[in-house]
Amino acid sequence: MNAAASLFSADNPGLPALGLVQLWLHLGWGTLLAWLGVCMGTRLGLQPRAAWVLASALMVWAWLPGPYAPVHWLGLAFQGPSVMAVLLCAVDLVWRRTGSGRFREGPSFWSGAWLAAGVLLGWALLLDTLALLPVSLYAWGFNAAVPALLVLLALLPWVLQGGSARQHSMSVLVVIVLGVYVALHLPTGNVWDALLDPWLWLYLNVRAVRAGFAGRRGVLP
Amino acid sequence: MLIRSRLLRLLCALVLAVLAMAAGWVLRPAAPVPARAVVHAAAAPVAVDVTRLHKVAQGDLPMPAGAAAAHASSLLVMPPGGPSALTVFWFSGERESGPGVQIAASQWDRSMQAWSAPRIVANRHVLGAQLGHGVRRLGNPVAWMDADGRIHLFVVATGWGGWAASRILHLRQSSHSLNLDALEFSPVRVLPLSWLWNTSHLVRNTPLPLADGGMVLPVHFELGWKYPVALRFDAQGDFQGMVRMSARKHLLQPTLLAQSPDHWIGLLRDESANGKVGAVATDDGGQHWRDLPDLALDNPDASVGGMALGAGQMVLAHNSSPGSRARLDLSHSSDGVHWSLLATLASGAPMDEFSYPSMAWADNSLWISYTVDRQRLAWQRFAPGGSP
Repeated sequence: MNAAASLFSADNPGLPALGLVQLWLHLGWGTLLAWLGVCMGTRLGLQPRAAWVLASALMVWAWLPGPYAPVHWLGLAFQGPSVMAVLLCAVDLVWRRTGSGRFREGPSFWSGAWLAAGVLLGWALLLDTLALLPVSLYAWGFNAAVPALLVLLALLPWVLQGGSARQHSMSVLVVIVLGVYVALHLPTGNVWDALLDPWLWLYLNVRAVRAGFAGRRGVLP
Repeated sequence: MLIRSRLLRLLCALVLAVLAMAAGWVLRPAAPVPARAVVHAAAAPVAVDVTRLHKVAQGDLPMPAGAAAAHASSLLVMPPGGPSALTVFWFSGERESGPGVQIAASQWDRSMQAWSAPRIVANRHVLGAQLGHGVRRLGNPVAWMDADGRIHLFVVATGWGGWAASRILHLRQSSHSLNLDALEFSPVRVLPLSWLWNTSHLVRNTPLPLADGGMVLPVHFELGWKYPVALRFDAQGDFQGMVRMSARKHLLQPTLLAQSPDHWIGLLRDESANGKVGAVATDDGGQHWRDLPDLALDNPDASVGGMALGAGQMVLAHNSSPGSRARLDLSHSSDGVHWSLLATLASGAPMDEFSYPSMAWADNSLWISYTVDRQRLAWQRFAPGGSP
């Protein structure tokens, strides 16, 4: 098999080593739990300082080994979170901490398009899991060419509209996720697992329904 | 920095895409050569006439002390010249899907001509600690030996839920010795096989060996619908990819038989009301599969186990009754479509169960192990040379 053929083959996935997967379990779930802690603390009316103490405690808890730590049970049930979910939570935490504001998407068409893309991708992956698609979409996620194609798709809004990185924050995030995936193959070695996990997809579905009802558009927490 | 030219932005995007592709190419292992199966059993380089196989020995496998349940044995051929001809792995505990279920193993001692005392080789608490997350239950083990002589174990490990929440845990021998008293395993990873929290794939039957030293591991998905999937591994046991084997939604636990290096058939447990053996085939070394008509063989939603001992020399163990697992037969075929009875392995009262057969060719014999009443395991040995 020549180099070009191997590049387009789905038959040579690089899977992450077990140690890296374990590190990701703690880092990923720790970040998600910290974000949930801040969100819940804020919603429950805690002082900002108390909310951040709660988030920090959850983050530390996630690094403990064994069945007394949440990662033991979260990993058992859901494996590791997607790189995208962790990155979204991390960015939101940083922006909450620094008070530098929320995600600013460009034209509302693109924010709606990102939301629709996430929702549709999740539905396609779910149907593929149940063998209800004529192709094996998940297996394509091991293909070395797919991340490159996704980089092009992610940058499409910027290519067509122009503008700053701040105006195309979702494009930047997707490219970062793909970069992490290409370099480290996290979390599983399959690019779809890096981009979208079922929890993030369920969240996007809720956002889509709410946006539909409210006539608004939005993607990010 | 703002780039005002759309063409320049497009060029930047293309450069990033090319970099992603190049990095993906550099950081990945070399692509495998096309899969070509080993048609003859590894230890039987000369053709075997399956019609002349006759039973030469049988018995029960020794069970771990206090184990009330035993199920889903998997036979592994050991290197020639070593002290053991075979290693058999199975799950053992207080009951199927019980919290105390562990993976047990025993070896056939060539000098003693007997099975060794069993030993536990995998425990869910130990595996959970090594993985960094919990393992709720353990189930079917399947064993394979790589080109470097290391044993790999693929074990069903459940998350939250029953068997439908299963994942396939890949373990690799971490001890230097193949002897049972020293045999140790450590996790390689949980195989990434589905997007839905990586559920719900299970393994049951032995791999199909490939000429490059790798293998194809038959597995199945079983969350609601059940369909078979073929996983490819290279000579060192690294995962290489996956292919769905059927569009039908009621086929599971495939067993693979090679009719030629490129042409293989898969025979499957059929959970529909047909009560037959399902069949699929590939003509290009597992890249594409097509459904075949069900075999005429009766089989009541029960696991089948088969192997090809040479071109046109296939054997299949199956429960030959549409309504129970009280009879386990061994059939043979030259084309994979038409099967004839070779021997009845076990039969009993309607509520008896003889199920989940596993096969291997070692020391010039066909070995078959199977579950008896979900409580113990039995084995039989067939040698060539009898009357057809």
